Amino acid sequence: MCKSTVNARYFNYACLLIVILAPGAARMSSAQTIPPASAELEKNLIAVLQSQASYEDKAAACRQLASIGSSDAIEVLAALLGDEKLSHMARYGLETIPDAAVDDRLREALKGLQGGPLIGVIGSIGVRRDAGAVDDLAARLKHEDLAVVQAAARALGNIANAPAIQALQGELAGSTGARQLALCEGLFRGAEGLTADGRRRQAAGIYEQLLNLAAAPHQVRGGAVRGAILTRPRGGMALLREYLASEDYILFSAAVQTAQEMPGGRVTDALLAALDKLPADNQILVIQALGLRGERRSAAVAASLLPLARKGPQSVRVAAIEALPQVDDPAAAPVLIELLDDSDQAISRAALRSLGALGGPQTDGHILAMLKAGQSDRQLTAIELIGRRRIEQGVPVLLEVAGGGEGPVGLAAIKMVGELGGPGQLPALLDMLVRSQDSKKLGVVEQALKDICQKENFPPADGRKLIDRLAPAPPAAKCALLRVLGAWGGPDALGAVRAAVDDSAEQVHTTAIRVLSTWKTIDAADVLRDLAAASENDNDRTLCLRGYLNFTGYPEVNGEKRLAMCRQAAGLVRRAEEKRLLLAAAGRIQSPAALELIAPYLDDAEVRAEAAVAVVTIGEQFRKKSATAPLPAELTGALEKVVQLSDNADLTRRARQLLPKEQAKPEGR
Amino acid sequence: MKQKKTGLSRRSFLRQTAVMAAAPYFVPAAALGRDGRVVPSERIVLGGIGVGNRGSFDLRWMMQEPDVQFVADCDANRSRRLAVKKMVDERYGNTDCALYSDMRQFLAERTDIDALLITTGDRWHAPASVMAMRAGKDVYSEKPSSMTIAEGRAVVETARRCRRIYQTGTQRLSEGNFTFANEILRLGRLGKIHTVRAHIAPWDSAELSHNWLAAEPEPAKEEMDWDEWLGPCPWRPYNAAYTRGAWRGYYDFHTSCIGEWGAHTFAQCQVAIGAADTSAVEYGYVNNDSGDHMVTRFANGIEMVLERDMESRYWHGSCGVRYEGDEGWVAVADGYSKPEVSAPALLAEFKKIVADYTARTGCAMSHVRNFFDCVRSRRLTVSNPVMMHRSMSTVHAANICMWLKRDLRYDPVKEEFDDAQANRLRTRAMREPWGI
Repeated sequence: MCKSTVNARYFNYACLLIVILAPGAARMSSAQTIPPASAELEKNLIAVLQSQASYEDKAAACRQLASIGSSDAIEVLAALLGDEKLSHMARYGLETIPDAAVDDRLREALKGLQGGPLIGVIGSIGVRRDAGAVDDLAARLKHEDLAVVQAAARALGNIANAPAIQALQGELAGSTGARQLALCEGLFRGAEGLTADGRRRQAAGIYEQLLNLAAAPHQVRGGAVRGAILTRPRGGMALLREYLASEDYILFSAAVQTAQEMPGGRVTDALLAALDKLPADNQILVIQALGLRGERRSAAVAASLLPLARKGPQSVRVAAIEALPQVDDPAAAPVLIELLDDSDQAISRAALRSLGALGGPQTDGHILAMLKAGQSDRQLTAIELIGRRRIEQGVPVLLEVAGGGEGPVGLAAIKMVGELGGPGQLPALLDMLVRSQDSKKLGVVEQALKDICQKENFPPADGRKLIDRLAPAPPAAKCALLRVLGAWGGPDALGAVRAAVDDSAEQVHTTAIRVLSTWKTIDAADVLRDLAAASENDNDRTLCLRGYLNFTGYPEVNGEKRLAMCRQAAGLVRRAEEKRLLLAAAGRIQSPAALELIAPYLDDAEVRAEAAVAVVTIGEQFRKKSATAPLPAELTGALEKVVQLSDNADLTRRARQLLPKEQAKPEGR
Repeated sequence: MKQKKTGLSRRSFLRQTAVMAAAPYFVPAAALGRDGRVVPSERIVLGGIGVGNRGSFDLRWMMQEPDVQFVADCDANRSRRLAVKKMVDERYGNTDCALYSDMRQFLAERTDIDALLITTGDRWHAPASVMAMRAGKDVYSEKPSSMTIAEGRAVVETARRCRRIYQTGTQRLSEGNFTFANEILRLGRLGKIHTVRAHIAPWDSAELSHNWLAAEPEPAKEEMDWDEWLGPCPWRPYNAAYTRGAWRGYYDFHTSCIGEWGAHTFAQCQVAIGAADTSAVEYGYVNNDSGDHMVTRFANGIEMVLERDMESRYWHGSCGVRYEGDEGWVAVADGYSKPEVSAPALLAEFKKIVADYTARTGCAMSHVRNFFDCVRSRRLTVSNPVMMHRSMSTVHAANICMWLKRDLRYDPVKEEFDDAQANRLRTRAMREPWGI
């Protein structure tokens, strides 16, 4: 997109105009910055229109006049209304000029125009709502060109005075098809104009006429219902009731739609009164409208919906069930609970959804009673609903149920205690943890404890309760507790986990190292490094180094720190696996500075391949940062060594591409 | 039904009329036996206007709905028409998708169609929507759904007048993360809201060009009906680039970087702060190309700040919004697994809050499903005409503020600026024969 304010062609014109019209400067904008209105600018734009300028320039001048033109521009713009090519842009300029002379010119133009320009001018008259043009427009309602009739009808509707409406009404009788639709559009606009002026009775008369129109399209009939109900000074409610009972679906649905625009209990009563007598499809519309009326705690609405929820066609029942939370009457809860057992899954699922959303503590009470009742299917549903509704006061009941066994209900209850509970539930959960013999239950309790520990503002004092339970716990529970401490984090937890590394049980010892290796913060890095340095066990050392090097990827570790950590690890690695871990971490440093750690491994057959990958990656990153900077000597040397020693053809090719041409060596071995 | 009297089957009648170039523009509704009746137990018959790249995405999404049948497409561009037909016929395993190039013929003839997907370029969104609703169709229109304040007003009035269902394609209003953000604001979890931030597209600018691309030979009308493509916009010579998406950045066709994403994010913000039925009242000019950091203010005192957010200061992703209150904030953009919040505890009730919203409003967490549900129930869509018009009015006013390079005040009741020159930019004369 060109953002220059004056393009070359305009510049040429501007120069020409400066000569012709000095001292004014013709500045034809090619971008949307709009200059302030000025007589000088307007004069120059008018001059463009009067010159032999191109269509593009004249169109641009019209566009600018639309925002700055005054009465001075009217004549020259009006003169273009009959120009097939420029007529539109002339209107574009004229339509927004706040001067009654524009209306005069548009009206005059009507006389001589045909086709597109005529349609356009009629449209502009409509936009400007020129009451003086009614006779001219009315005459065009009989025009043979449908588009002219449509434009005239819209314009007359916009004007909306008595003669305009009479003209439209006069033509309506006997009209058919698209002409009829055009006249209806005009009359709708007229009625809206009258309503806005407070003349509702006249507006209602128009809607009555549209309602009684033979063979009108559905949008006209429906729109007329709406207008008639809303504008009839007295009797709107009677009309609403009448159409709510209509066997004509268009009229009926228009009435329901209109009711949504009408607040108040009387409208609700009308909807309720209609409900029982309707066919199923119609009932659904009324039920949905009732639900959306926002009349919460309405016993009358609930009383009408509950029987429909219990019995009848499936689609009606689902609609009624889904509307119940919107009405939010507590009487709905027992019915919805009853419907959970419905043999039709569409009904039982809808009931479950609605129970989740139905408000009020009474509903919570019903759900907690379900949980206590002891039927396992119901209990699982109750737990799901407790979670969906976030019933925190249900946590003690959940704990009771959770203590009852290792079955699905117990596990679901424990999981929900984790989601809804807090530090107060730690003792109970810890008891379960240390007593549990079942690995599945142990895992669920562990997750529940983690969920609680990771909640915002979890008190450190409560965290220390976890530590206190560590020493006496059996190994499996101890391992779970260590993982919970890892989820909690912080210095106290870190100290406890470090101490557990020295546990005599192998399972606990290894779990403690693994927990340290995935610590949430870098605080565990030095612990792992020291453990690696001190370890006599190869597996432990590898595990510790893996964890230690894992921290080099943490976002808070910058390149310098990463390099320093890798240097420390370099002094500890022994096995090939450990070297590979080091090379992976050093390769991520993406700096030639890491080559001091990587390059030596090019001579180590066990890890040469990994070292070569790291060298080439660093080279490519270097080149990505700067396409022209000379390669540092250590990088050149390392790449040359890759070319020389690597047996990976792709890697060799990439290394050679990075090397300066004259330094490229013949393919290696 | 009339088809019995004429001996024509409904399908063969539709096939015939689809290829009748000189067919009349009006066929009685009853001839096709539907006449606007979409009862809850029937399928919704869908058509398309201007279905291109984005439109194909919408259409695939819509065709997944089991109660929807797409039957016909209208486009000035033959290659796009054919692409839609291929996609639809493959989906249904037949060759029934009918094609049209003339919108007036399409609207007049296909009285069997209940709803239209309108995914033209921006210039056609409002005029096509108005024409479609006037023809008795419900409309799902892509955004930005108006080029001027006057066009938006016309959409609102036509929908009411013809009792049509209309949804603009601000689909984030039907997504869980964005809904959650709006709901925690509504529920008061962020305290008193003072600022909301709305992402504007970080490319292009608020400046729009009036230039023309170099003229190219105009293709045959059946390949590309250039006059129809331009529609109500000022005439300019054909250049294929326009038809391939390069219409963006031109004043005649586009609503700038502000409209490109503001159509989404202003709608998000305005719905969140309870201003879906109004527009910002103050617009502070900013001396840059894009409107970045422009502060708009609503009558309730809440400021909405336009942000390109090139430094990802407020969100990470496209179409971001951020709501800031005196007790917390929430931010969300595309691609988030969960909204970002000032305190993690705010997220504890994520599922409940979204589910409660759905139960309370009946609005599905699927924008197209919400549209089809409303076609059946005749209730207001989540992105209804008023919401579209009011949020797009804020877009238009922000653009006008940038173009005039001065602060503006806007009266959403009168739909007027306090500035005579700005008022002249609320509307643009349409090229004949188009008019709404």
